[in-house]
Amino acid sequence: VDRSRERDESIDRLLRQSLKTPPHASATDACLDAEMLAAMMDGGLPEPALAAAQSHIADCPRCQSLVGAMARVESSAPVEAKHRALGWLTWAVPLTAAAAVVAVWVALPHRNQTVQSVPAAPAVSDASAERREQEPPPAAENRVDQLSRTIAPDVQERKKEVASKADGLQKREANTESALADTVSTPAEPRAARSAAVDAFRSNTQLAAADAAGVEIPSPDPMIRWRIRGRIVERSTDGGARWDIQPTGIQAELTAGSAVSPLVVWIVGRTGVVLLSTDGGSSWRRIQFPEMTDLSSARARDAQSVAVTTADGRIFSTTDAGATWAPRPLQDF
Amino acid sequence: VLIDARLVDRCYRQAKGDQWRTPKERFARALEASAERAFAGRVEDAREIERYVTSLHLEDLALACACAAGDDAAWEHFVLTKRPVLYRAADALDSTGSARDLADSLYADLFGLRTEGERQSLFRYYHGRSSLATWLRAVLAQRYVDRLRTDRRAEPLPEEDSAIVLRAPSRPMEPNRDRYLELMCAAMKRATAALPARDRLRLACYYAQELTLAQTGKVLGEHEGTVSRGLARTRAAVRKAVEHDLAEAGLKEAEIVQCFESVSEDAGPLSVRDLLDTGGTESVRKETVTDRSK
Repeated sequence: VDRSRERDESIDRLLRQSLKTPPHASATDACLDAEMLAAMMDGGLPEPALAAAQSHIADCPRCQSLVGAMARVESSAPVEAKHRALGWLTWAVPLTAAAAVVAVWVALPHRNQTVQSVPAAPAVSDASAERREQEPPPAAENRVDQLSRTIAPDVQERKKEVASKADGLQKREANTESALADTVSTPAEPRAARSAAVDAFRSNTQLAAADAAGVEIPSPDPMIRWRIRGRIVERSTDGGARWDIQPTGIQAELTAGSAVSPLVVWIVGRTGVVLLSTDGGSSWRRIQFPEMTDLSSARARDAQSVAVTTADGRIFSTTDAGATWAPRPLQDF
Repeated sequence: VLIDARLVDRCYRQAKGDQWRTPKERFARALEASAERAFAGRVEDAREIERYVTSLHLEDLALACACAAGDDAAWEHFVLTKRPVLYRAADALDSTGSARDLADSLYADLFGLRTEGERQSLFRYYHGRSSLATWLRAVLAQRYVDRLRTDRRAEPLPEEDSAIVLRAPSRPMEPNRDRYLELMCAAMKRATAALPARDRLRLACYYAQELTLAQTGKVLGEHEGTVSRGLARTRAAVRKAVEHDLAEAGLKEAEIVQCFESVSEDAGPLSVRDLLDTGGTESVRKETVTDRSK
């Protein structure tokens, strides 16, 4: 397994280096125009046209640049994003509450059977994963799927997790727990089941929040990723279902990051903050940066090399873990 | 594509065309142009055409028609509601604000110029298959990318003394590293070329464009988690194909390990893209010498 993972990381690195879009890519007659691109992004292309467009983009550096620019622009559309988010929230809360009640009902009388019938969360079979990939479920199904995977594996395990994280609950979650305690009034029982329901709700609220806030930093291992929310750094080891806070000791707002492996991650922030962790975020080292300027992005190559962009668009790079900085991008990056 | 007059009327009402005094003939022509583009000259039955035109963003199409016709109220509404859209998009493209001039320059093209008695506006390229806001963002993104490409062509080559001095690797380099890396690159080129287009597009979005999982998902119409799983699956498939390719080339297991380690180490001054483009040992060595001389 280790060898496969190491080799996957090598492939990841090679892909990162080799798939760079050449700067002089020229447009051809087959290239997408703005109308086609907009239709594609809004789901306005029928299947054959969509497949043809995607096939062209896969091999056309110019259209890849265009799609890249468009995707960034699209994610900057707060009004529409807000509309979507609100739309989701309007049904997410009642749906989650209803699902939690159903889950409690299912968990109580048939607890053993439920545990046996559903595989442990991390061990989702390839076949089921493949099914989901081929036919991505709508958001609602996704959330329910997430909910069932969160609840089913082991209620007792969830109880322990909830207990261990009790001190870290945020106010809203505490209110939620209280509300659920009132809703799920099963006094004789089932603190465990109630905890599971609360935990499931918490997991879903975290998922919802992840869509709306925070900057996510993926690593080559899709299960391991970081997230920045203001001054807070969080890490997930299960693909983003659950997040754990990793203290950095930094008071400045963090803005971006880059993870080159499941262990090596760089994070930058305001007032020249550059952080490096080489142990998966267990500890963080503050790297000296030559200016007290806000940093807006980072692109790392390894634990020694990173290029950071300042808020005013300048690029600095280091290849010796911050011992020296040059006002240039990294070469062959 | 001819569209039935009753269907035009229905679409016109649905589009609230009266609101902007959109000329119905212009609106009908816009529907026909949209259908012609979508069906690319194919003859479709009336039901299919009806299904298509009623699925369009009709209100936006009516507004675009009215603006193209020069209606003042429509223009005022358009500028009021869409200027923030354009500016936000411009700032997303370039946080220094330099893309805003592109946004401003769009207005002239949208307003249009009179050619042979008829105003020719950029709006004629809007066919209602997306929202007007998405189309505007796409036009802006297209102009931005084209300007970037033009600017890059005009950029002078960096002077030698301004280049970063590359340090020697901390440990002795494997003498056959260039060869191993070349083999890896060639194997990977074959492996990625054999992937389905959708998988290659996912790789391009994530690695070449450095989009986030969410942004990549938006391009592909996939959930973020599906993108993540798709990338992991594709990476594993490429790895297996590379391993198979190297073994087929007669490499022993120890050499295959060396091949992968050649990538794990700092790739140094080798240009992997050039390796992929040429696949020639000579070019590899030449570039190595050139870069190390800096």
